[in-house]
Amino acid sequence: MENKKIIVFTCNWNAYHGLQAAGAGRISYDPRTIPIRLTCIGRISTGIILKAFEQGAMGVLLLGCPKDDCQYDSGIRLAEKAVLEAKKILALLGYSEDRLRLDHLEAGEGKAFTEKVNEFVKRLDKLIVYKNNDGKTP
Amino acid sequence: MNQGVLIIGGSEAGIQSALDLADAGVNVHMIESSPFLGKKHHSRLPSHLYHTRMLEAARHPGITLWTNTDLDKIDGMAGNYQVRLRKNPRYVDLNKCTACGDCIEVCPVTVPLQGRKAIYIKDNNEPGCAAIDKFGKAPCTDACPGGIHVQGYVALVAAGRFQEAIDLIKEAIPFPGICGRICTHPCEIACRRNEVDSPVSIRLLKRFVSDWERRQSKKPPEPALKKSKNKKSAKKVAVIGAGPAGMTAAGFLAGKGYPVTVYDKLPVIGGMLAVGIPAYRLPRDVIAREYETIRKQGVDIRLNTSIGTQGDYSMEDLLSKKYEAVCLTVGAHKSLSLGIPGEKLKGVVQGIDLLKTVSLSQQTNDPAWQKSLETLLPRGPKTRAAVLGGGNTAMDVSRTLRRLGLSEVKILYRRTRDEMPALAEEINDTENEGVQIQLLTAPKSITGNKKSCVSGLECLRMKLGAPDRSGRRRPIPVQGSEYHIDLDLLVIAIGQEPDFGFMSNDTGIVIGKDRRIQVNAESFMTSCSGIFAAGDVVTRDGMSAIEAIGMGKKMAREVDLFLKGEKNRNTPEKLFRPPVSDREMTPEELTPIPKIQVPVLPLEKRMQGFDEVETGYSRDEAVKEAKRCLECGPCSECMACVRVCKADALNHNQTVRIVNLNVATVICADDPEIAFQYLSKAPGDIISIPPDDPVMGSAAASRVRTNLAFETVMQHPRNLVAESISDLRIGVYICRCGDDMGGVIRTETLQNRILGHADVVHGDILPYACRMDAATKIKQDISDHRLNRVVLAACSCCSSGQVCFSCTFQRVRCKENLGMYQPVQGTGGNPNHGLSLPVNFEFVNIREQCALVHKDNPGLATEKADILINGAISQIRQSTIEPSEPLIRERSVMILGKGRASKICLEALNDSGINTARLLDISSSIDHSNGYYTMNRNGHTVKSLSIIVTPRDEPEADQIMARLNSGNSGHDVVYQTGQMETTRPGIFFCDPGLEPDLTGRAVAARCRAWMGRIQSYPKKVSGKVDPRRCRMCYTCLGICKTGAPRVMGRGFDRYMWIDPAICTGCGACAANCPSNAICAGGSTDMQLEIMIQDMLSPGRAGRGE
Repeated sequence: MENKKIIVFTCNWNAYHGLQAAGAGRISYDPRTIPIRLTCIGRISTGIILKAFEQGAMGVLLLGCPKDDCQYDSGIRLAEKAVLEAKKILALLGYSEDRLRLDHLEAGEGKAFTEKVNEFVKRLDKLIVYKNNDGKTP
Repeated sequence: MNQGVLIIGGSEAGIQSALDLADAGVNVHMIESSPFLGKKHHSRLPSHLYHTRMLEAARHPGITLWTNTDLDKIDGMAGNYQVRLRKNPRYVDLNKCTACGDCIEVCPVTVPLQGRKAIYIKDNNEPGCAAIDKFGKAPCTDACPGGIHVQGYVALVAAGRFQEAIDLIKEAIPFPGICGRICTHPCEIACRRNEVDSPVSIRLLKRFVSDWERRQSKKPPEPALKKSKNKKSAKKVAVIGAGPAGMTAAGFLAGKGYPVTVYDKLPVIGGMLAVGIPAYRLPRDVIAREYETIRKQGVDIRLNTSIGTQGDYSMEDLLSKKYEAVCLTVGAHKSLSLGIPGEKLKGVVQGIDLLKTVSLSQQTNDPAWQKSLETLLPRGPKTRAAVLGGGNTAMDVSRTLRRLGLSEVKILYRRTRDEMPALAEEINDTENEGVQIQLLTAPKSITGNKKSCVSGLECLRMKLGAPDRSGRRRPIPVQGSEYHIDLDLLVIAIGQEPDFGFMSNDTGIVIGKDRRIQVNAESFMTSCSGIFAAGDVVTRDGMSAIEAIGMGKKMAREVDLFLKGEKNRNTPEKLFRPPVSDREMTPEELTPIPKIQVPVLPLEKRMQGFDEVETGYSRDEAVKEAKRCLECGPCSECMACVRVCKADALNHNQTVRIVNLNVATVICADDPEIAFQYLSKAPGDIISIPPDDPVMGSAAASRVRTNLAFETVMQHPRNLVAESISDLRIGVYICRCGDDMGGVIRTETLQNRILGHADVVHGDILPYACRMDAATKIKQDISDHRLNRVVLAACSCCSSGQVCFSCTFQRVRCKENLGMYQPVQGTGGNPNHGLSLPVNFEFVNIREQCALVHKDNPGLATEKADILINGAISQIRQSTIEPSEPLIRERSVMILGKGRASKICLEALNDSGINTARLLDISSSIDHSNGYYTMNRNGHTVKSLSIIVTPRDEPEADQIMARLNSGNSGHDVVYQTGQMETTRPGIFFCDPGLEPDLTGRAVAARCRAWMGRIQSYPKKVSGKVDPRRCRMCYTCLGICKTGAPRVMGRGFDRYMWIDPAICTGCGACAANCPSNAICAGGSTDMQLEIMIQDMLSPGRAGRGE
């Protein structure tokens, strides 16, 4: 199996609702994306992000609620912290910081979901082809 | 005494009421008159949140949701109402519909003004299943004696779907081609286009599709009813008379598996169709083709076989030949006589005999018929003929005579044209073909010549008098108006009666005064057991073919019941006659559209022979004419949805159901005008609230007492330590969702791969995971294969038991069927999903996440589904079977503050038997430990599960909050102006700025609901701390916004405990716990990492750590 996967973490609320709406609306997007649902995007930790890269993920996209509409109030802030830390470590390991992104999504925005995902994947494709198409150690 | 509550109206207020009550343990019935709960009023909630509320109501085990339901009657008084509900049919099974939308795709009817199909699903409405817009039967469908779904085939023709149209007709009657030509079309008489211009030419549309089918293939069509469906029966049936009634019955019974023999004394098939209707109206090959289809069903037709004492067989012969049932459908072939002098003269013939002679001379090679025809016309084409009568037979005779070359043919009728029983179009055609119609003329006597042949007719002029019994005006002779006409042939066509020559006198079959066989109106059985009769032989008023067909069908059904020995004839369809749709037409619909005239043979060509006069519509003409249909249903009952639905969810025969309930309280939360209607019916005091006010909904809920008897066994709060199972036995199921998933994802490939996983002992594919049969199968497999973990790859996406924004009706139904919403407390459900073994479920969505979005790439969609299933297997492999004991807490409340709402809250809670303390002055700080709030007061401790803050004003509010927050580390409890809930679940707030009575009541209801909720359902998502790993760093306490983590134990044994009553399950604590001691949202950080590893490096799957 070609192990060029992109992990998309979504929170259970607005972001997952975007994924669901894309599905219900049959809006297609890049099939290399593997969604993983967390209760809140604040559930993410630096370790989990790094694990995904260790396992050869092309990139990791985190999608949470809009900043002022987090189901649990402070999830986004916690995720920002985890992402910042992960980016520092990734930089040390020589990964481009473009391979990790945190973004927000409003409820039911299926189209926005696919756009954000496709845009992220497109950027990754460019990035990794540029880095001699290895996908694992840039 | 019952505790049930009826809520009228699935509005926001109604839903709030229902949830507040059901959570507190009250049994709720909610009725909604439309097929869907939906956002109909203004609401502060965005649609996705509103949707979640609706789903919660639909899911709640304590709420019975009745959609399409009206309140019919209400009796009794507060505390004991007897309610009668009227549940109107939805025609879609809520337990089966998967909302795939296939039915909407094929529905040929677009509802005027709405722009949607007659079958539809409303986005963001619940139940998320299809519903059919059907006010009742269309008038045309209702009028058809043959039971054809008339509007259905018209709609299908309009859509150009001719095969489906002809199939639909053939499901009801075996003679579309015959009826398409000679039907008296009651449907067109009932057609609502009559209100606008002229009816849709339905008969011609039927003819068109039957001709169309014929053009497709030369062979007679296969029978619609496949005989293979039914086992061959040993019981034989004889039918006497091969006319439309007899043959319809024969075909129907053959389809049911009975060997049927039809006897007819005529040398040709068709009965009156073949000898009473001239070929220019009904070509004989049309009859032959449709009879052949019935013959193919296994019906044995024996022509030239007469029954009777002088015939080939007597009735006794038939019965002794071991026919279990005999159907008499001999028709009425004997003409009535006039009763005037001269009827015995040569040249006076009966209309029906003349038609028969002509028809048989054309259809048989027997020269006898040709010869008798010649004797009828003594002067050949110069024969002067007159026909007496105004019915279709008179028209047929005169037009036949014209075709035989006679130039002088008259019709004499004693009333006016308006009273003529013949169809207007027939009368017009007759006149156009050169037949002279003399109205208000009655025969007095027939004159003959020396050879005792007819030579003329003495006639009388008539005028119309008062209406007679039939409603027609009675003709009265005009004195002295006698006159004479010269004639060579006089045809009498004033009606027929049955010829009872076939019966001997001792058969025991009773013939009534009306010269018809008497039958039981319901069973069609004659006075002789096992002998049935239908058609002209039982009805006095001359029957049309379609009436005979309809009657034949009904008789056949009765014969079937008789032979099966069933006595209960009361099928639901019989008991309930659906109403006829009478929907209002839009101005646009009321605009006239001219009818498409049917092409006919030119007059000069008609007289040259017996070629068919009407040539029928072309394809384009038929479609155009069909589009004139006003779609009265609006559902046309074309049954296309039934055929396309793979989940078998459609049922057009659903009928109104009457439901009787006993409830203690009625809350009306419907639109004011509907509410007014209901309230006027109600005897007692019904609580009425505005539909758009959820606060009023809660307030209304608080008026209902709840004596929910929770066991108040004290339990020490503890971290639930998981029971680990060494022997993992995983079952994996993949849903095909019809073709929605099965058409994209290669389920067999997945199944094979899954079975290669370690610990997976069973893998299967389900057609529909959300149907009950799937749940039954899974439960059976669990016990058969001793499964303790189940992964279901379908559209459900979590096992948390909560309802999120993305949830759907089908997902909820799927989990409900598996027993996942059974409450631990209250209704006495089994904590283990009603299963005998402890089982963990994990759901993975491969529908919205794979199949629907990667349709164009089945390979990658399958691979992605495989990865997701790997993830779920990994997750469930690491999951622990949790002791699913309920969180038992004593329901108790502290009301803090001097506000006026405090007294209201106290009363409301006391009413429900909840231990409530009202504290006006708060002098000491409030502690929170072991799941309870405690406060020292005058030397003793006040303890409660929940707190309601009821300040008099803002300063007091701040003062109380300060007391609440002083005793605890971590985040403060914060209230928001206008809100009833604070940041801490279980602490409620009565805003002093709001109306105290309303707020107090509403808050009491919410508080009561919360206390019920936390005890009824184990919260799967809430965090759990492993005490062995906790090192008391307080990180979780600092992160948690709700204040769920509490310190437990003393000294070195201290550890954090997360109060499941408060935890909202966000998992932030787990992500930030430095020692990975917290499991939240179903997994620890480490478990998540292993899952990612299993998903991305499947080669290593199964190892874990």
